[in-house]
Amino acid sequence: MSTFNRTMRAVAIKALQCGSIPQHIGLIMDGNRRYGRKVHVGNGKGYYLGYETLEEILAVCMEMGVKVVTVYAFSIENFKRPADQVETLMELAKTKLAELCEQSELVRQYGIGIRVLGDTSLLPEDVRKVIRKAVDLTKKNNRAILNMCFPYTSREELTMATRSLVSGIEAHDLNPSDISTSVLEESLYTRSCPPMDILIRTSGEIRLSDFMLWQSSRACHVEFVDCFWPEFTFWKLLPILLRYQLRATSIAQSRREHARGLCDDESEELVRVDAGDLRDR
Amino acid sequence: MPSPSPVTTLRRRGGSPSRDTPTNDLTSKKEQQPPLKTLRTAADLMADHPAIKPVISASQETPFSSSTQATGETSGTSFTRTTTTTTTASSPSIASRILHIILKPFYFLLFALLHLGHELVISTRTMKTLLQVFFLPHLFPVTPELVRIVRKDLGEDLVKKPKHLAVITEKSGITLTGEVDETEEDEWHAKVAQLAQWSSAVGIKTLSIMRNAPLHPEDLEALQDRIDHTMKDFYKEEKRIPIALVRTLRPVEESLSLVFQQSNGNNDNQPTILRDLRLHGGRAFDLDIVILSPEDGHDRLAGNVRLLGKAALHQQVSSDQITTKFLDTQLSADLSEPELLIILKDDLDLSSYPPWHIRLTEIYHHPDQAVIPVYTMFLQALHRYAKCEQRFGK
Repeated sequence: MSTFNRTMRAVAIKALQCGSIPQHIGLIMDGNRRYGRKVHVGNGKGYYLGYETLEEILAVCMEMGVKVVTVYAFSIENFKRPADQVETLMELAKTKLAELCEQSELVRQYGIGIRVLGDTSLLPEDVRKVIRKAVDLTKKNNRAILNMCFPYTSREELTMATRSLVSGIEAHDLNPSDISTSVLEESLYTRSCPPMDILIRTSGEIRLSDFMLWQSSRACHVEFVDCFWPEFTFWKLLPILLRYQLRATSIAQSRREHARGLCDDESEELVRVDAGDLRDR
Repeated sequence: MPSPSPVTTLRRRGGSPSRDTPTNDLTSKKEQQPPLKTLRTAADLMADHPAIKPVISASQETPFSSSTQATGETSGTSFTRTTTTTTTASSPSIASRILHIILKPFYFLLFALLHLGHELVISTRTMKTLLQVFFLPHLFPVTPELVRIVRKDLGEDLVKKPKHLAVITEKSGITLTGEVDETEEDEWHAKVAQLAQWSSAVGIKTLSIMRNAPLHPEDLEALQDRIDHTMKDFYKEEKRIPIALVRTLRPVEESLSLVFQQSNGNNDNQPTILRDLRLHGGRAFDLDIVILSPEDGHDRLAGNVRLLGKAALHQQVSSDQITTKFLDTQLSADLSEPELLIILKDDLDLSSYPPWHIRLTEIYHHPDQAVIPVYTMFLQALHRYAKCEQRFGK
């Protein structure tokens, strides 16, 4: 990237920071293979180029002050792809994760903690080992988070959360009446992350494809971009951020309203508890 | 009148119950202890669940404690925030800090210019849409002879039609605070009746409509009457008038019995028949209209966990039994997965549409809601859907 381009980008970021900056961005990096075919470099190279774009976008987000970036690296459904393609992706993930946690300037500069979300038990042992190491090495970085969804589907996430809460009830650690929407939210993989503000899907598809269904279906700015992921640049992100800034107040308001709604429900319960107390006495 | 117990005041103060500290509940009454204590263990339970990589402590050392407030800030307050982030992130020298302060007005100017430019782009696009709408070839089907036009517009040339169409409507007459605006509510009813006409003309089987507040049971009757009436009007030149049935979702409690019925070895055809019977008491119908409200989204999933928990306590289910397939049978018993979702709102917002169901749904949203007729959007969405290709992860 040229110096001129870099300077322009830095200036634009500074200007954007005069408005509200999203805390959590979700990315569905779709279209790597199709891009690879389009420029005649093959699938594997397409993935590689896609990773380079991710690095660039991640750097932009960090420079802006985004706290969490969640990327859809691999879906559980992707295991259905031809074995050699799955193999390529696993190799890419292994090398890039190792690179990210050991020698990445970006990770060190912005204090990025890498987390891997999803059912990692489906992965081969060598990949899991690299993941454990990457997560462990960046555990202390707490200024920003990179969530790699690998292998992830939102339905699996919701099932996992449901199952663990029910097993908690079975073990009598929990009461069925304790379960509320916020408790379920706290048992998802993304707990301890701020709510998702922007979800971007590239490649012109207009589906969520089982990514962050819970997180994106309330007070979240969803954008479908008509370009392949390796073609995605800061300049394509810029209009999305501008649109988000126009909406940010209404998003925050709807979140507040929702939180107030939750409080109202709780106080109703409390009234009932009080009435029970009175009877006891 | 005794004052409320310490626990209740404590819970009233702290928004989320899971954040209550265990030290506080030691002072409280014994009967009150279990929920508080167990909630803490629930968090621990989550933390050491094997599927969750890495173990995250809920302590305040993470920088996200004030995240929700920060997003909605005006430019004035975020000004201060940006300066703090830059100082912590890269610890610049004094010279660069001075430079930053000098350049600040310039950045503000650029910020305003960027938004201005963006507004211009949007306005141009809106003007373009307005022109397109002005020269639209099709008519808007409100009168009966136009059934044929709808069929022509939508019917024959579509390769693929959705079975289940979902629509998120902008607003109804009821606000979140519970005030009712009669005229707006009436407009909403008219809109639903119109959507029902078009959907039945295309051959859609299920139409789910999301609104911002739950529909009152009395209004459900009124809506049914209205739809019956408009359908009669719309199809009066046809031999047979399609029947549309309006309903809301059943309580989540009823979904579990269906799963048990299926697991007890019924054949494949029976569940669908059973489902129809259960939903409409055996009445034959062509279009199934489901009215959804935000409570049917995230809250319903949480309600389902509560239900499964109760069933687990009665040894009816065990946690090992809960798989994606199990939950899917249970949750899609009352509502199928929509193939197409049309958002009739200015912003693309999914508005708590049941998250479980929108996994592979095509989401259609036109950015120029104000100038484009609903019928045009309906047409475009169906044509867009007909073109799409799904790869299912491959």
